[in-house]
Amino acid sequence: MDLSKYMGIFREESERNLKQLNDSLLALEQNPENMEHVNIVFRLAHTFKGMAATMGFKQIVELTHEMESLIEKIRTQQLKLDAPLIDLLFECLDALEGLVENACKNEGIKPGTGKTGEEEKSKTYPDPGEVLKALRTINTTTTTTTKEKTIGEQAFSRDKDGEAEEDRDNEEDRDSEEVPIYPDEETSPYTETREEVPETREGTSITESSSTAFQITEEGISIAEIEFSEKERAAMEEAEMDGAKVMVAHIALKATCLLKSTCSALVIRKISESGEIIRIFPDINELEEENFGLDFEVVFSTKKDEYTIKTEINNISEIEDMSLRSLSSEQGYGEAYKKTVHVHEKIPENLSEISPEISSEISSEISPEISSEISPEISSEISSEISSDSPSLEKIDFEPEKMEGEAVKGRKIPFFSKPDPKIKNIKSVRVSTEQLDKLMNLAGELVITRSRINQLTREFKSKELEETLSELRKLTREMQEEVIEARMVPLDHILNIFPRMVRDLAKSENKKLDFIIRGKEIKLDRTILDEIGDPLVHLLRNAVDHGIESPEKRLELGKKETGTIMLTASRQENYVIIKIEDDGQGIDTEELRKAAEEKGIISREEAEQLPDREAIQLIFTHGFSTASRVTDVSGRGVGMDVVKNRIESLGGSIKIESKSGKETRFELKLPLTIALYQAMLVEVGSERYAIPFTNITKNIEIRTEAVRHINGEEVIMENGKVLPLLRLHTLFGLPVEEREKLVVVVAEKAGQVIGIVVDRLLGKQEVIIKNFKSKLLEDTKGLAGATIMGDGNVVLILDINTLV
Amino acid sequence: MFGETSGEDSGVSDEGLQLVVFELSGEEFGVDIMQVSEIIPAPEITRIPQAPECVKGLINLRGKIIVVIDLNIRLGFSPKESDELSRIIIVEVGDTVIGMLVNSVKEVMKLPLSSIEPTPEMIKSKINAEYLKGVGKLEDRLLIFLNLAKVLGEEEVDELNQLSCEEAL
Repeated sequence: MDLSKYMGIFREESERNLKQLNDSLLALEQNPENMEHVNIVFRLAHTFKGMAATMGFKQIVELTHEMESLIEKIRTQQLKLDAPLIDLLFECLDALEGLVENACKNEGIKPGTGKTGEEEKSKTYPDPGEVLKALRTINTTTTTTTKEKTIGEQAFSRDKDGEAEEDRDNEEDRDSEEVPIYPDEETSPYTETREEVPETREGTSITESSSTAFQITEEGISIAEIEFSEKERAAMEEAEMDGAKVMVAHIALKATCLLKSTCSALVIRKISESGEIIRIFPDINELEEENFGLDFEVVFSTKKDEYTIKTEINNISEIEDMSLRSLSSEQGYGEAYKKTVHVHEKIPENLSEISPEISSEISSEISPEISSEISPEISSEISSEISSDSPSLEKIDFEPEKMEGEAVKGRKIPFFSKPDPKIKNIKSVRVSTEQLDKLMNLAGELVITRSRINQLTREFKSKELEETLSELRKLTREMQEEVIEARMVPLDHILNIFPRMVRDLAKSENKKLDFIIRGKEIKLDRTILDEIGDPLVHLLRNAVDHGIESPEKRLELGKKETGTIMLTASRQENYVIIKIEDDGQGIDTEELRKAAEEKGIISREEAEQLPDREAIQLIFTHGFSTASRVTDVSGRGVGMDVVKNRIESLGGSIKIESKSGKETRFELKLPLTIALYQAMLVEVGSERYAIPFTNITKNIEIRTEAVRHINGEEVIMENGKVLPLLRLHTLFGLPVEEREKLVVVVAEKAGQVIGIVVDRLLGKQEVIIKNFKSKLLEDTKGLAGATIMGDGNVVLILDINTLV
Repeated sequence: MFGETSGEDSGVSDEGLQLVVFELSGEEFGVDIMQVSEIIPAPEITRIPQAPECVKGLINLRGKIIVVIDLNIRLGFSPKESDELSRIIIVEVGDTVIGMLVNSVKEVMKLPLSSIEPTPEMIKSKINAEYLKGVGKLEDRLLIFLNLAKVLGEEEVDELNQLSCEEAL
């Protein structure tokens, strides 16, 4: 029922997206031709739309939708991105910011408090309505070649207009005196979705409201256990007057029940769908805190028969046992609160079977009086007075014309008669990672199949087909994004153990340091998250152990007594960057050289020739450790190479920078998900390969004459630096053609830059990485996996780090 | 020898063994049908650079990427160009799905258990004995049974006996 939990995430995500949007727009302002940023803006708008739709923020959805259409036009070159357009997009951005701000504020207001004044105050932001109008004007006036788009947009905007009105109504609602418990009830489809309860809800709310009277069961053994408050009594009496029964459900959970609070919440939910909850023992807060044994009781009023309720509740898993009994007013509810179980069997028909359609057709009225049978007619208008004693008893009146077959979606009877309900809707479910992986795979398959269909049908040149395909493209992309998102877990999951670990470590080494973590809300694919814990631990230990000096030494060196280790995570497009920095003693490259030489990793000459930048990479060499002393925590010669391998096997990279005596910085670049790669498709001979973008710095074209030879190796000079060349032809045993110009993909592997010579660049592509398995290929290096292209062929994804 | 590796022989029934018979370099081979998941005509195969010679490459089998081994090369026969008779037999060995490129697939037949015999020396001289499980004698025909786990590299091969494919490494 409340989304406040998700508001935090929404806000974070929004802010990040807004920032990216801002950055990309700034970049576009400099260079409007930059398609990459156009794509980013498109993607951001799209992501935003998805997020907002989930949260039910209609205005944001509208705005981002129009933005998306606009950018799509730019992408398809129906529109040229010029200064006024960029300005407009900036306005969009600001308006979005305003809307997000507002949304967050509104959500922050407790339901039912009635104070919603704030939302009007945001004057610094442009009016979303105006921006929207401007966008629509452009979007509709541009002559679109694709029919689908305009039609789609019109349909959408028509839709939206309708909703916008409703929204205004809704806002009035909020300001009016009678603030319903859930302010957004009865509004747009979005809010409905939000409030909507799956399963039986639609059917049951009609049922319960249309059946007016039941016989009240009286079965009195008086064991007064609980005193009901005046209010509760009043609610019970009222319910009885209204033809409902007051019952007590005793629920015992299985001893194996893992989440008692969730389970109890489920039960309470179920009951609230069938009636009004009057009291819960123990208190709802206690249930939430799991401050109860295995059983709890719920007193509620309902018009449903016991059997139905029993069945419904028993359907919930992890319930050991449940029993129902009736309470009646004549004996005083308190006294009737007893231990016997009574099953009522006199219900003439199963009310839950009454379909919403039928009920919306029925017109006669039933007065809310007690009658001893069910009236044969079911009213379409039932109104029960809102009494001050039961503040949430909502006025129920059906307006069939408003429902239009949608039945009762928006109509809900608040399930608590207490002013401040605390039971939350089930907003998340546990899904096994296996299932997520499978979903991910399927989404990938879908993308591949889609592009295959695309290729197969290209020659048909059917407009309709194209439209459908473009719709399919959007859907598959959205689905993929959602699935990827679903697999994401915030870094916090692994980071939260670090402060303690670092502290303990520092203490045992008598070092003073501050440990700062930033960006722990950044999310990563859980597979990656699982894998990076150990490397991070290792890097942090190194920082404490080798990096930060002892307080005495620091003072001697004129440094602050307390050292600083900082872990910063941030998201850059499709990557997450994790930096670990310390202001300790840095890495002495001289010592590295010496150690490497002693260990026979490199020769003396090599050591002398090695530039500092490369010498520092020596720490990633297998079996390398310079620690002059071995401590418990690090310096046993295993480590950095393992860290590097682990990161690279995830499709990431690790960089190190260090200033001797001053600082050390590790930078981990990790893909958001290992299943999806942004890759450059290249052609070598007659073969195609994909090179992950993680590694690529840029592409250049050089004249063959520019190639020089150093020690028999081909190199070129690039920005005054020597760039070793790697010809894929030679490496892969393909015939080399003499060419005037060479296409070089400049890629980075572990701090070292190489130029990979290919024949042709075929363009950027999102590839779904698939693994293949054979023990015979265990020694085959240079491959990160393979992917299936639109034409069904398999293309290998290169792993630059192991290529040579 | 055949009896030692009975774990895989799930196709054994009262009547005997159901086999997929295929041809390589003029010899007939049999593989237990229970290990075969399907047989497909050779599609486009993506070569894997720097891989052992016997690894023909990768194919797309309904969205799954499968490694294909050229059995001719793996068993030390001379390689053969793929033609319309070429087939890929998809087998499951342990938890790995692998494709075996063969010259042709002839038939599926039943072989009584009684006709299974140890591998004659003549064949051992041609093929690494580590790869062999036995032969099936049927009138004038001789079917060679392979130890797929070893042929397909899923099981360690005694290094002294390493031939062909390993040498290519």
